[in-house]
Amino acid sequence: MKKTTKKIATLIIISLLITSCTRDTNSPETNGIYNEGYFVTNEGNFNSGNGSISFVSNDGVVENNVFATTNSFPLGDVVQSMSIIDENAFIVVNNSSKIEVASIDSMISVGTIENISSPRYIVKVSNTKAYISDWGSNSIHVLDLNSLEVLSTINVGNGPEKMIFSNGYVYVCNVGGWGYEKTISVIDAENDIVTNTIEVGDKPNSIVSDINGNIWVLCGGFTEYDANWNIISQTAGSLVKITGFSVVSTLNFQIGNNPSDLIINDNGTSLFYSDGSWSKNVYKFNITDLELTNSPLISRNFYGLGYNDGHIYGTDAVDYVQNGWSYKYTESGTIVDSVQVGIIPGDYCFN
Amino acid sequence: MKYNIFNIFILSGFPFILVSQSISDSVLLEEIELFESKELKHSIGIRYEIFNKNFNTFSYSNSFDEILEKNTTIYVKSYGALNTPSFRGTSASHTLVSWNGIPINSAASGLTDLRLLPLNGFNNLGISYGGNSTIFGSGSVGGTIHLNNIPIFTKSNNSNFTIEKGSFGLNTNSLSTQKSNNNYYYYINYSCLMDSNNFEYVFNNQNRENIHSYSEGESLISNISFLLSKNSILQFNFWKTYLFREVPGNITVPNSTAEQTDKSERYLFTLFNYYKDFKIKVNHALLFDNLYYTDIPKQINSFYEGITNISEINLDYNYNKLFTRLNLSSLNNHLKNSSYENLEQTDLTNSIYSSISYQTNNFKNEFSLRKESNKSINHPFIPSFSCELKLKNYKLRGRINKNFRSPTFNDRFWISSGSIGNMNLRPESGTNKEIGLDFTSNIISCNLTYFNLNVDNWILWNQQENGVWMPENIRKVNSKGLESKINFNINIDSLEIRNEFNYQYNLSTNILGIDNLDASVGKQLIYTPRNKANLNSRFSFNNYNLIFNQSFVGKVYTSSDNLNFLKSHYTVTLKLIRNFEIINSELVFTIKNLFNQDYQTYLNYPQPGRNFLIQINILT
Repeated sequence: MKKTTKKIATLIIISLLITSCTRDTNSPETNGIYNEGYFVTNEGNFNSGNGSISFVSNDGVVENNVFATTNSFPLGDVVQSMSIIDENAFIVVNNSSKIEVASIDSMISVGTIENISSPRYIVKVSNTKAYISDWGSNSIHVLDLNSLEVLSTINVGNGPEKMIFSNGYVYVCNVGGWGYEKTISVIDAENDIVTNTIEVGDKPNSIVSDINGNIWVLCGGFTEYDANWNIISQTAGSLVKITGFSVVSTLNFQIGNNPSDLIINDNGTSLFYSDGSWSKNVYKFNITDLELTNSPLISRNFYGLGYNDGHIYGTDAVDYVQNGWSYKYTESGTIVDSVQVGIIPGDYCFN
Repeated sequence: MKYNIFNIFILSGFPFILVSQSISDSVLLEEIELFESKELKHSIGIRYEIFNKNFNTFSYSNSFDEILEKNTTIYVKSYGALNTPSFRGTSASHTLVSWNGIPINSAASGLTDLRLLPLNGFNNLGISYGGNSTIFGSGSVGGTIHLNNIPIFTKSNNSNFTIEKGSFGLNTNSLSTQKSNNNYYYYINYSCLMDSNNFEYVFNNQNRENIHSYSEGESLISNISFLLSKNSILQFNFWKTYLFREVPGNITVPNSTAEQTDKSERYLFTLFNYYKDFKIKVNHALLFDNLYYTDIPKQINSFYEGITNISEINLDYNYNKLFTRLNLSSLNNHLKNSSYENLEQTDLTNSIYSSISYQTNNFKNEFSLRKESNKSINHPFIPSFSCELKLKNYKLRGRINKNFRSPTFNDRFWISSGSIGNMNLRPESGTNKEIGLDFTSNIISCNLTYFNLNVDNWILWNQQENGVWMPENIRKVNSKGLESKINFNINIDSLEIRNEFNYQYNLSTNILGIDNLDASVGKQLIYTPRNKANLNSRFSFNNYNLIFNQSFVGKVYTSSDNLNFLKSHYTVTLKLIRNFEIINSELVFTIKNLFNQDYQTYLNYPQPGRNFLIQINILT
């Protein structure tokens, strides 16, 4: 679940209309050690509890449902994201209001962090602490990595989404959650206090830091309609560069587009993102570029994007009620291969 | 006596208004000529059944979901606060619910929650298999559920008080009174319910309780009718419902905080005149339908409040063996919804249908045609042709017709940051073909029906490439199958055994993919079992009755590529009924899920294990 604007109430209605779900049966492979490959988080269907994790080995063999198969209980409802912190996988399960912690080697469950209202992402900030963004409380929870207990809670803007840890500070995209927002909260990770609130474009949804320590924020833009579906107001999406705690440049996208999924290559020199209105493509932006490009790198629409080791990855959820796909491309946009993963693959986690 | 009943009622401590146990089921048939239901009038060639109490006890705790699950081959899925049917492989919004001929599906979602349809309070409950949009309009695509209060103008005066106590904190009370003579008919039914529903289930090798599943509700149903003259009836129907539910999450969302309240009030005024071969019926329905859904920790506070006005004029003219009908109706929906821009929307649909039928003792046929007009939805003509032929004990029947479902208010007017309605949706269009053979004798009766239906332009909410969800006319579905039903009676001395066997085989498949990756093409639709069967037996001996219900539901797929499924399940319900003549009462002891089967009808929503229910009916 990476699209930042999804509204739970909407999904309730949608779930009435489309229905869906999973009890998986196709995991013939035995559990291996999950070091040589990468993970795909599959949201599963809202209110069906069939979110899952797929593991794709370096030689392209897929093992679906790695968590449920190992632990013999379902992972949960809407698997939003996963981060690897030290020896453990932290799997953020949005609608189950929890984070499952499992050993990265075996996927055996080692603990559950419960009662986080609507968790989205988790990021490590020190050897003992991690931050969890939570739409439900519009705050960041400070997690003790040893006890897996929440130590404290930091209030931020509406709908804290993706975070990046850079130079001792955590930059939080306040995407608006179930409302409207346009800020980045900057948290001093040592003292757990908000030191700055930076105004960026409307609905910041993703964030990366480059080789020079600059922060790049992708904002989706905001559209408002009236009763007759006429657009009352519409703002452009934007790519915002932050140096220190100030916006130093803003590049606007075409009005009506909703750019999303900002990722960065391993050397921290090239950005990639999806952009378009009803049909999106993947574009590349070098951190030294002064303008956004109009020529797509990959002419294909993806539900989620990832980057690892010279390759761009993108997911396709097909009809949202069946197993989706993950595509692998070279950095120049040439397709390498594709694999079938779980239901609604939304995000990646690389070792 | 009346006061006594009332005292018991008050003492039992129920804080709200309520419903009752219906009057005996045999009464209605005699009077049908006087007040014929729409579905009976148009039942030529189709499979139409009225439920009776042979295999069920109609109490307030047992709503339509239970009777469909146990006594028919219709699949019911239960999850959260929703219980919805799938007729003949179609989806929940393809079942229309009709209350005395008035459609009551939510104008917002197109659905009706079966839990809101009590089995008591109505003296005529039926279902029509296969869509009949020509007569009932939008949404009658897979089947139609009928809830009727039919007045009976014979001298009678009785009351019925029912109390139920069940496992997991289930309590219901209901009271009904009927009084009638050859001038008037008066019926009122009040029921109320409280249910914790906190059964236990196993998750990750631990016993867990189904928490946050409390519900309380009440319902008031009444029918007041006057025979104004020998050929004129004035009827007033009323139905009020209140149901509050904590909405449990699935097993992976154990700490749900959602709550839902459904409130509805329905008024129907009918004037019926009869002049020799000519009948005229004029009615007006006023429906208030409200739903409130809140999840405070998740900052959700949504609602809709709907007001529907339906006016209808129905003319019947009968010349010799020719029966004709002309029906004009006007339906106005006004909905307030927290997620509609402007917060409210209004929509007017006018429709006309006409039918002509030629009927002899052995041969009947009917042709009917409907046309609707709505300023923003373009409706095609909806024709239906059906006929039946009787040969001794056999009846051969068949029908070919078109059906449709209009886009709902949510489909059209929804607006929020992550999703948006679609004003350009077309109605879903269906075709239905069926042929059936019925055999009836004193000992046995059998029905066999083959159906083949298509739904084109099926509306599905789909995530667009910009991440926004929007409904589109994208699915095309075919569903075909075989339904069979066998009733047979066995008498051994004073032991009478009545049996009913139902079986359905259904192939319901998606025939249009959204792109070449779509693995759902040719696969069984989700939540539609290929096989469903049940066998009901009622053993009657003196004042004892034992109802033995066995129900089998084949595996249902939960993902459209059919890689994931819920396993098949077999459940047994036992009911022991003891009649006491001295105080004219009835004691019913029920064991549900006798073998304590662990099963689900919707992924990750566990069903209760073995549980018990005691019901006492006192008749005066």
